[in-house]
This record gives sequence, structure tokens and C-alpha cells, in this order.
Amino acid sequence: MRAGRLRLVLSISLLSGLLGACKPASEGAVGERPGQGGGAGAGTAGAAGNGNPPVTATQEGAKERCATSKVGPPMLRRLTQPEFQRTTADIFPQIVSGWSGVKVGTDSVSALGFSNDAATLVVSQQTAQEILSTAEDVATRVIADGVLPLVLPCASSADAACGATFIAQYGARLFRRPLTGDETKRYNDYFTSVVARSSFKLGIKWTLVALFQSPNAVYRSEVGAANGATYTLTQNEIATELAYTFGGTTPSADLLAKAAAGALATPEARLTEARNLLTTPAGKETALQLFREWSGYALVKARTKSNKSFTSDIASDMSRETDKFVDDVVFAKSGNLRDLLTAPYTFLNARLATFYGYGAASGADFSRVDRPATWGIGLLAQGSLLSANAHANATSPTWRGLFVFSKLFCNTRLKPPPSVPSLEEPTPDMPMTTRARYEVAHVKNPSCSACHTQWDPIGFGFEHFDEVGRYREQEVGMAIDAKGYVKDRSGRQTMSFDGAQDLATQLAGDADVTDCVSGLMSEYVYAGGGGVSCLAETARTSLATGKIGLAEYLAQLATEPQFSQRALLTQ
Amino acid sequence: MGRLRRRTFLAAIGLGIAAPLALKMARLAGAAPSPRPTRLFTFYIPHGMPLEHFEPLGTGADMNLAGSGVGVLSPLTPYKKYVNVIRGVGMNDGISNHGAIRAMLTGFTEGQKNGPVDSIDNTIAKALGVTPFVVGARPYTPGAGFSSDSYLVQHGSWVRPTEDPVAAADAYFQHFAPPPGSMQVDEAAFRMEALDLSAKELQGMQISLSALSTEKSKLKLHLDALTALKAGSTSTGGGAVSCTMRPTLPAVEAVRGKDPLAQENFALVLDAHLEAAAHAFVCGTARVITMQNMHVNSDLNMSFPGGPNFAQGHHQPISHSSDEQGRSDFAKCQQWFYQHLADKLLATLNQPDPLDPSDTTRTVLDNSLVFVASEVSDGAFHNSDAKPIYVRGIEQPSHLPLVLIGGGGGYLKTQQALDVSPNPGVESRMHTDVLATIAAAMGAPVTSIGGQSVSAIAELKA
Repeated sequence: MRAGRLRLVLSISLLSGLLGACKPASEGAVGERPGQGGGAGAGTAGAAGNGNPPVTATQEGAKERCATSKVGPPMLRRLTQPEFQRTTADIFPQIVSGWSGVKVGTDSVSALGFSNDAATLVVSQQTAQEILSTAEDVATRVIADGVLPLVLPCASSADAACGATFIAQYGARLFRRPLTGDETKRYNDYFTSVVARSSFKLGIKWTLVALFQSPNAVYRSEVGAANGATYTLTQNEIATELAYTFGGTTPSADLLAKAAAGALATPEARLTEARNLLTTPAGKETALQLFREWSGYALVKARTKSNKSFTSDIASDMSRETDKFVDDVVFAKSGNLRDLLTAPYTFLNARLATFYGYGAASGADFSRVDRPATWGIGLLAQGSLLSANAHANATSPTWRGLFVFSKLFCNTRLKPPPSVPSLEEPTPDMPMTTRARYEVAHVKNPSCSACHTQWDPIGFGFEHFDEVGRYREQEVGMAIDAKGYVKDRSGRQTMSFDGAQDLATQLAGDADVTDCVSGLMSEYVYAGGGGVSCLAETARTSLATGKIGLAEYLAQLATEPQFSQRALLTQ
Repeated sequence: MGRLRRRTFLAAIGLGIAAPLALKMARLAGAAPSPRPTRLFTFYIPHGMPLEHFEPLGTGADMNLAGSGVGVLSPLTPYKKYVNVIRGVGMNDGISNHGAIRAMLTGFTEGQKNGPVDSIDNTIAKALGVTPFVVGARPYTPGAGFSSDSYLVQHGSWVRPTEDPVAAADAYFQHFAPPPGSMQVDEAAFRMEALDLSAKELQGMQISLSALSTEKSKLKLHLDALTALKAGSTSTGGGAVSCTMRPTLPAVEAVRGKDPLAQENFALVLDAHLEAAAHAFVCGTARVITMQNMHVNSDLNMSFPGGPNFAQGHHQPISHSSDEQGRSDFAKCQQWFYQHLADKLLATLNQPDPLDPSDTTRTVLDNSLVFVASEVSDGAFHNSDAKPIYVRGIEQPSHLPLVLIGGGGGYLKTQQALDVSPNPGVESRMHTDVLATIAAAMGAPVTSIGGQSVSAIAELKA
């Protein structure tokens, strides 16, 4: 850890006692950002309590930098709902037509807001029932007339050899490795037993149910084999990790063949596979999901606004706008974090262009539109992000500031105090700008300012954008003041700016921001990383020094020791 | 058949109760008392309550549920004799709304006290040997995932409420589901064997990963889940079921194929869940159901069809209102939930209990507990305690807005509005004592929750 950061950590420790004395603030205080969870790791498996690393990743931990990467503990990762869906569709494409999909429900999200954290993804009774129901549904479809011959060409023979073929072929796809001898015998015995009491088809059905819900199928194994001071993941485990991390689905037969040939052992080989997988539709979608869950921009689709022109179509358009923006900057242009924060354009269709007031309509399809000067730049000026972090009828400097505070600087906000009254609403005879309301209630009120001055002044920088993300010169007939500042947790002012463009430009050049974002991305890619910080120091340095862009950064995470090794732990 | 028995039999038949059970009811009419078939329905309404629009006037027979302001509780007036409005209760550990939802049924802000604490519904269900069902009307925001702001019920791990009323009804009435296809053999045995196979694999993994305590915990949770599935834990606990077929559920059918998380379907989904739950209680196919409406900080726009017609988010700005009009609007939103609870659940439960043939005058409500609760006291203040707040400079009391409806199998003294705090206005009664009271009424008494001593509230006992 760098000396400067050590001082900061100590400062935080000292300060947290002071901040704990924050008195009730207004506007639902700091914990009010909607839809991002408010818990402190609730729902996770909790620390092991035996000296092993904690299992839950943290904001502060994500930002941390070290001289070398640390390696996380061995673990099992339950497939996420989208992973179950894509896996099933890839292995049994014959059933997809008319299929409503897996019955596995929405996944729990971690304290970082990520839906793929290995610590959060568990199999409760509810999940076990959903997996069983999915397995029975899939198996019933697989044995349907007209489908089974496609899935299993030897099915017409209806003999034990065909059953064994099914087990070997689909067992290997579902387990993402060849079955062991014991497993093969176990499933063949079960198949034979069911057939003896029913039929060949039911034998296939129930054997598939057993294979589908097997822990070997439900969990991605990242345990490896002891190799000196670490565990080294097996080639099949690496193939699986590559396929799900960068492709969002189960490893292809080709990738498994490479694993069988030991061709995924080198960082270079893994990098090649990661790059290729990120170009597939599922891979790109998986990467976009990272940006959605990190920034929360897709939450705009769940927002409602008092402004009637903000329809669900507009909200969906805004989310697509940001999808296309991220796709262009990160993948098409191989941009880095600076580009993501400062690109002077966006993607609009006619409806959205009209809504924002751009004037020039661009038709039903989205196309690139340069932003007018002063209308903001980069990700932070996206309507989706601005609307998602605003109230129904007003902006929220608190929420917008908290986004920068937590997602770009990786600061952990304190829990809001009890008994937090709402902000007073302005009255028609005494109009106030939003900034003025917040300054009165939060910044100038000493009982609130200790906490709120850490993020509200950042949020003031976005005041040229109303609660639905449109540019404005004035509010309630008064000029907008978008000046603000950034403080570190010791209270030292580290940045001052005037408006979102100035703020974005400065953030783009801030090393702490790169450390934070690259850290959070590594936590996402390593799906929690077992709660370990400093997961990908080489790749993070390459990103920070501008050698590589964000897409390449993601791919290079496959070359890091964290990807292929696990730490030996003591009981 | 004696006169009483004949009358009982005909009354039961008239209610559509299965003839064998109706006959049993008639036979048992006047027989020696046996444990009453209690049911528990927990109904979570988020974001607290503007108490000035909630508080009833008076208590006992004179209690006026429409007494204050908007009269949030006025929909309960037809069921007044079953109502307890409990004042003076606060969260023992709930310092903010975010932690408070997780504490509401577990007793602890993170649902943890030296490890996960079961929520009270699971504790009760385990004691009764029945399945605890958890359903929800938009219990999380689509796209945001099932986050800690939605964690209300914990059964070893946090439980995501069943979103779709059709799926919930299928689970309640699975006894009556037709066998799949033209099944020639008993596939249930094959299912058990498949579960066995997976359980054995899990046990093998537990051994091979025994050095990894967190993964071992994960596998244990999984194994426990399979064990429960294998046990085929019944929703009835082996008790009687009064129906011979799945009841007609028009509100459930009305949402079939619709997106249960869509804002425009919220009222339909809420009604369908209530309808299905009510009929499951009458039939006896479910004994413990928790229904979660929205979640902490849910900004569901309350302008959905059939709703209270406020085109604003429930959390922001409605629940945060501090001005008179805003608090009145918030009260009307909360009243909307009570109205639907009354219309779709209480009305159905207010009929002779087919599972309690020992006294045909008893209704299902007599034998039930409907627990209506929120995670915070006042929406605009986010407090979860029972202390005064200042609204526009005027002091007014606040406490968790807790209502019990039903006789709890004769355990409860009802038709009361009472303050149970040890020192009203100064000190809160711990909400875990309310949970203990519910458990006692359900025939599953507890003396501690998560290692913390609790006691049933004497003033609520008949």
C-alpha cells in the first residue's frame, strides 16, 4: 500500500468516529439512492472467522493498490440466472423454440451491487426448487417426440449403450469436464434403474434431471490442485472461467478441447480466448452488464417521474443510448476510462433527440450525435445516469454526488442516521433552486454537513441537467450555479470545478478514479474475488498508464494470477 | 344426525366445503376442544405511516378505526372485533429504514446475530411442521436485482418472494395438480432418487472441500435445501385440508401471462396474491404466508391502474412528505393497501372455519393472525422507534404502525388500541416481543430470537 493511502486509511479511522455523530439530515440522508441496495453486506455468507479472507468485496478494498496481485481463495460459484439460461440454450438448442426459459429467479446482488458475486449466489431451498423445476421442464422437452432424435440420434435403439452415450456426451457439457469413472457408473446405474421401472425415455429424462441439478453442474469449480504455495486451476476450470467471464455461457466444445489438450495454460493463450469471447454477442452483453451494474444506468427503466413526457419508452431509449455509447467507446474505439468520461458525443434516435431538445432528429435507429458545447461529455452526461440518480420531481445533488463518491472514488458512505426528515419543499411564493434547498438543508447545517459536504458539492456540478437528464440554463427562473468541489475523507479539498464537463475532465485525469474503477471491474470479473483486494495489479497499471483501453483491460484480467491460481488456506 | 350436527353439515356444504369434511365438522360439532388450526399472514407495507391519519379513536367496542384524518384503518371497520392496533413499539436495532426491513421479521438489522437468524415465519412454520410461503407484489425493482433493500424473510438465507401469483397459487394448491402427461409410473420416486444422487454428490464435495469453511457453509445450505425438498415438506403439516379441488381464483387467472413486476400490473398482482392466500388459508393448504409489497425505497409510481391515483413514487416523494397535503396523500396510499387487504383477504377469511369443526361459529379469522407492519414508524423521518417527532414544528407521537387482525386461535384479546411500551412516549417496547406474541398465538412459543430474550405481550393475551 502506498504511504499516502495508508495515511488516508488512518484518517478514515479517526474520522469515522466524528462522522458517526452526524445528526439527522434532510432528504432521506445518504442512504437514499434508489435501487442500489442499502445494506452492508447483508445476504452474504459472511466472513469465515478462521483467518481466511472475508468473502465479501468492499468499495474501499476494490480501490486498494498493491505492488503485486493477491490471489483469492478457492471457491465454488453458483451459476447466475443468465448463465443458467444461456448454458441451457447452448447445450440444448433443440428445445429453445417455444421455451419460456429457466425457472431460476432473479439473483441476489452483493453490497457492491453486483449480481455475480460468488458469496451471494447460494442454493437455498427456493433456488433448489427452481433448479429442480427447470431441470424437469428441460428434460421433459428433451424427450419430446421430434426432439429426442435430434438431441440423441441413437435414441431409436433405446438401449443401454445409447443411455451411456447420452450420459457421457451431455454429462460432459453440463459438468464442463468429462465425467469421472465413479460418476459415469453412478449415472449409468441410475439410468438403468429408472428404465427398468419405466421406459428408455423416462430413463433419459430423469438422468438429465439428475445431471442438470448436480452440484457439478450448478457450481463452477475454481478449486484447482495444490501446486506449491497455491492451487492451480485445472484446464477445464480455466476453460469454464474464460467461457462464463468473457462469454457469459458454458464453454464450447472447442474450448473444452483446448482444455483437454492443455492449451490454456499460458497467459497468452487465455488472453487470446478472452479477446475472442468478448466479441461474441453473449460476451459483449456480459461486458455491458458489468457497466450497467457498476454505474446503475439501466435503473432508469425503473424510474418514474412527475414529468409526463418521461415515458417508459423514453426510459428504455435512454438505457439503449448508454448501451450504445459504452459499446462504441469501449469496444468499437478501444477507449479507456478517460474516453468513457469525456467522449463528446452520444447516440440518439429521433424520439430521444426531440426529448432532450437536440433538434435534429435521427430517425428510429440510434446514430452518433455530437453534444453541443456545454451540454456535458461522457458517461456522466448520459440521460440514463442523470435520471436514475434523481427524484421524481427534482434533481438530487446527493444521489448524483454519491455516485461519483462511491463508484468513481470507491468511498464507502456511512449509514444514514435514524430519524431523517425530508427536505422542505419550496413554496410558490418563495421559489428556490434545488442547489439552494440543499445548501440550506445539508451544507450549511452543521449537523448535516460533516457527511453531506463529501458528496452534495460534487452533485451540484450536474445541476445543468434536470431530473430527466435534459440540459437547462435556469431553474425556477434563476441561473444555475454548477460550481462544486471534491474533498477527500480527511476533509481536504482536492478538486474544484464549474459544471459537469469540467468535473468529468478532471475526474478522467485522476489516478484515484482509475484505481477505483479498475478495481471495481476486477471485482466484477472475478465475481467477488473471494473478498480479496489487489486482484489484477499488472493490468490495472496498464490501464492507469494509458497503455490499454477498457476492453483490453477486461481481457487482460485473464492473464493475471488471480485468474488461474487460488491461495492455499489454513483451517 | 342431531339437529346441531345436521345444521352444521348443511352450513358447511353450503360453503362449498367437501362433503367428507362437512360430515366430520358435523360429527365433531360440540366435541372436546383440540388445537385450533391457526394461520399466519404477514402483510408488509413499506415506508411507515403518517400516524395522524392512522390512529383510531378510543378502544374496545367504541374504537373508531376511521378516527384520525384520512382514516387509514377505516377499511378494517367491518372486522373491528378482530383488530388490535399496537402502539409504543420500536425496532430494537433498527436505526434506519435500510436495516429495518431486514430486522422486521428477524429482529436484527442485518438478519444476523452470530449468524443468520430465521425470520419469525420460518420459526413458526418449523414448529408447526408446515411450509412457510413467501410472496410479493413487486418486491424488488426490475433491473436492480434482489438486493438487501428487499430482504424481509430469511430461511437460512434471504428468500426472494414469489412474484407471480399464478406460481404462488400453484404452490398452495399443488395437492390438486393433475399428474403430468399420461404418466404410467410413479415419477415421484425417480425425483426423490435424483435428489438423493445430488445430495450424495454434495456430501462428497463437503468432504473434499472441508478445509474451505465458506464453501462448506455454502454446500451445507444447498444440502439442507435438498433435504427439505426430499422430505417433501408439506404446506399443511399433515393437518386437514378442506377442499377437494383447486378453488376458482378469478383474480389469479386475470394475471396469468402478465409480467408480475410491471408497474401497470401492481394492483392486479396484489389482489391475486391476496385472493390465492385467502383461499389457501380456508382450504388449509397453507398455514404461514408472508406477503411483501414493494421494498425499502421503492419508487413505484402510484398511478397504476386500480391504484390510489397519485402520479408519484411511493417512497419519493410520497412517503417523504412533510407538508399537510403530502402526508394526507401518503395516508391515502397506505389506506389503499388496507382496503385491498380487507376486500381480498379478510372478506374471504370471515367465514366459518372448515378446519375447525369443533365450533362452527368460529371463522377462519378467529383462528388466524394477519400481521400488518412496516419497517419504519414515520416515512418522512425514517425512525423505527416509538418517540415523538416534530412535523412542521408540532410534536406528535410516532411508533411502528403495527396491526394484528384475527383472534389467533383464541389466544388474543382483540378490539383494542393499546400502548404496550413500558414508558409511553419515552421508551419503546421491542418489536421482537410482538414477534414472540405472534409465535405464542400460533402455538409455537419462543423465549428468544437470535439469542435475545423475548416475551409475549401480556396485554394482548385473552
